[in-house]
Amino acid sequence: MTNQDQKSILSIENLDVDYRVDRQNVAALRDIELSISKGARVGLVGESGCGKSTLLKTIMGVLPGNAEIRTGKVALNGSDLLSMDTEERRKTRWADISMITQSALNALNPVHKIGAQIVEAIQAHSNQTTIQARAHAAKLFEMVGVPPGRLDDYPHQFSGGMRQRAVIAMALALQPEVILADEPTTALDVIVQDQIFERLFELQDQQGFALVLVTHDLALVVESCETMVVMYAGVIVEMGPTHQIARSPQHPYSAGLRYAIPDPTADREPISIPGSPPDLSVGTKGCRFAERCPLAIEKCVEQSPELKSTNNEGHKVRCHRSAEMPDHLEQFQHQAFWRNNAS
Amino acid sequence: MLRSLSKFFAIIWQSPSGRVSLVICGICVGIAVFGPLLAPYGPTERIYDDAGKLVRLSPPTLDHWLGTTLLGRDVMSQMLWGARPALIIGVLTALGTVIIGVNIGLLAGYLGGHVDNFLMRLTDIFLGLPFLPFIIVLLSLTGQNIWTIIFAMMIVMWRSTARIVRAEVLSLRERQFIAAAKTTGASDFDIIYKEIAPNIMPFALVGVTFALAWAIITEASIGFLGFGDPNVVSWGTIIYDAYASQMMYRAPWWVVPPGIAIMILVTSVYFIGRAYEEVVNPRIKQAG
Amino acid sequence: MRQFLIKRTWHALLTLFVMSTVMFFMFRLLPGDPTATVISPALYPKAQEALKAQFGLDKPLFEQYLIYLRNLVLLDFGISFHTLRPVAGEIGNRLINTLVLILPSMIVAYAIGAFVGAMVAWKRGSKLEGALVLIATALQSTPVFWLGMLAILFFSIRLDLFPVGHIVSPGMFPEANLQMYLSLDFLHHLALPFMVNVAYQFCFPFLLMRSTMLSTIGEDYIELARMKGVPEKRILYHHAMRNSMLPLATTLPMILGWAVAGSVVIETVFSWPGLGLLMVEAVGRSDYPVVQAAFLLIAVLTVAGTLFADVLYGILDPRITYQ
Repeated sequence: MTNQDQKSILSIENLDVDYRVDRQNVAALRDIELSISKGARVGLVGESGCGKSTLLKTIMGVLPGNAEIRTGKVALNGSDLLSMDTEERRKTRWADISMITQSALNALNPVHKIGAQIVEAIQAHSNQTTIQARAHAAKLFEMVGVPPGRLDDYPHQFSGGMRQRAVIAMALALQPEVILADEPTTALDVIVQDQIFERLFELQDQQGFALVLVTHDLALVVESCETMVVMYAGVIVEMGPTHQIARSPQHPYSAGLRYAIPDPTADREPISIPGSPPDLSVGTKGCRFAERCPLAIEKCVEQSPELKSTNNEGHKVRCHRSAEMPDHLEQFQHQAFWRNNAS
Repeated sequence: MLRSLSKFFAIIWQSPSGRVSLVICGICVGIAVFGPLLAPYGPTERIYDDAGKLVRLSPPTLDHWLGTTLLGRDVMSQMLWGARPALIIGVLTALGTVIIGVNIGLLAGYLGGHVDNFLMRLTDIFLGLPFLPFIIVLLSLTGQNIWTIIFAMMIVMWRSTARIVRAEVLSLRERQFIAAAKTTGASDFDIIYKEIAPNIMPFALVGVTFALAWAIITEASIGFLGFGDPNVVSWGTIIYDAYASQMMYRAPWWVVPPGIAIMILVTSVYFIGRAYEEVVNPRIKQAG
Repeated sequence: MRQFLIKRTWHALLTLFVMSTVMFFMFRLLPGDPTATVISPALYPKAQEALKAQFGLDKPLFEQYLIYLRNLVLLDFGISFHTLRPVAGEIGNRLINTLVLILPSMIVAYAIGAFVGAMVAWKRGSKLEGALVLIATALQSTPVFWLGMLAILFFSIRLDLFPVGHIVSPGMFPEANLQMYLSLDFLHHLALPFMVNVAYQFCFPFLLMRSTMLSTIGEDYIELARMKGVPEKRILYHHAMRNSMLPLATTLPMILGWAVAGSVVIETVFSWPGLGLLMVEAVGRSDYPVVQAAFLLIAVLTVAGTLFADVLYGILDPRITYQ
């Protein structure tokens, strides 16, 4: 075991998840290897449909009925979540890993008071009386910057930003070691987004939970996370220290995401990756990015690449041609290169 | 219009319960059309045996598959004759109901303001109207024949369709294609009937099926209470005759068949409506 | 909330006013005017006089209408053509009889229907679910009077478990009083119509609750509750069922309306001396003061039900705004 593994709090090994859709199996996640260290801030990026949500649902244990975990382990502090019985599993939820959901409006039950929904989470895991739990909820509200007097409001009485803060307060309720944040601010305007992230990161520094920030917004990850993971079509294509991937991406897809961000200092137009995510039906071979990749060769179509370590510590990439990437970085910044070479 | 109808049937045919229901409804329509030709006796024909005696309350026999009534009528023949009025009344009422309901819903939803207020208040009043009692009072005053029955049912049944359609129009009104039609200077009439109405068709069709189910049951109830058209034998009036004769408990063969016929027909109408609604309103399908 | 109540009450009163007006003019203007038959010399002179005095038939139509309204407000429904006694005195018991039959069976049917519908949806895809949906749809498609007749045929005639009809055994209780409603004899008579009504009224809440639950189960807040580690039972009752009750409350006024109006048929089958049966009998006898009174009382019940359901909805859904 390396040094990094020892202080890892959440580790995922060899995880494969399928969905059954219209009597066909769809490979939603393949070969996921991921380790989150205590207190780390990890950005998980990828287009919608890349398996981010499935990964989160697997970790939280709320996969829909048509999903099947084929192989793999999701270990929290060394104990495998997937082999726990229902009641054990229920106890670990929220207490150890909690989640800030994408749409706070839909995630809060419209007919219950927000305070009561936080109290519910607390009471599901402790013997606190309602009065104690409410006092705790009031503290949480203060922490996220909502007046505690509004605990008795209903979700529809809150503004979008306040709802999102309430959901963050709920995620903090049991002082979990890991918080998963799934596109936590998509529905909000930019200024509110900034305020909320600022507060969230402050809280992380105070409380020391690990934060997995799931987003399609690479710029945000580059700005705020020390580690990043890039997913494409159900697999991790690249992971490692953010500054390294941002400076010199080793996977063509990461490069595409990287240069899709407008850069005010450089004199270039942001690019966009042509094409759309592939068919995920079970049984397809080759690299999943091959059909959109300007560097694809015969081998890429024939053989799936493995996730290999690069020369840099902690940096892994899944690409047959990653070694040649530094030579092509300049080309990747131009839209024409993408369009002309995509097969 | 025709295209929506063929799409309607295509959608229903896709679900197994819809398919079975369509076949059952088809059979019922067949009986309504050809039943009188197939019936061995007239609906009110009295049957005498060889000795010239009236065949009263005969249990089912080979001659009379469903037995006979107190007045010596063949229940099987009455059943075959009775499908036609049940279906004619049902279908006409359902169509009329939906036509009124859709138009009121369209006008209220599109015009808004005072018109909407007035029409919705009117709908509320009709929603508070006791359904059967009102129909009975009305029929007792207007006289009882097929047309007054259809009319009486129509004027109380449009209310639910109107509400559903109005809600739908309110959301359609904000869509772009309506705004586009407005900027090209289309008249309100054109917008309502050429732009909005086609989008309402699915709701109207669901409305027709549910109204049909209700109309068939209501027609039977009216018949049972003794307010049916006295000159027409329908499934409802067969039950009424059995009930009024006080002999129903001695002659189950007389009461059971018409009830079962109504039950099977209406059940399949409901399933047709539901099969269609599941596709039109995908929220239910998604979850199921 | 108070404003909302005032507004809804005002609407309810308006509805009743319009209905009584429609009733008045229907009887006066439609071709089959029953007063014409009543005023014929063949009838009791006493009734004729009473009628003429009460309705002032010699007066202009509008003035008659005003008198009619005044009498309604004073709960004076006139004198029955049939019994020659004031309608108001007879109709009170009938109202109670209808209520004791309809209300409890509605409550029971709603409770069972909603609960069973929620349960089968929660464990979706079971054989029981399919069977119950079919049975409920079939029951809903069955004329309730026919269901009642079958019940009598089977339980009363074949098995001899219940009386064939009526509210108590003949001669047991000459006066309808509290003692009567508490007697075993009354319950014995109530049982069969009660069960038939429950079976019939069960279908709608069952089917609606099931389909609402199926879509509620897919909501994000159910998933969040699960992620929060909330026990499954609590998710079922506190989130899924609680939220799925909203459409049930929205449709309650309609259903109450059907149930009250449907009392006409169920009371007829079971010879249950309620408002519905009274109305049917009175229509048959052209006893139109009674018809009018019975109809208006049934309408009051329906409208009161609607009002109740509105308020209930306001309590269940905090998102509703009272403007």
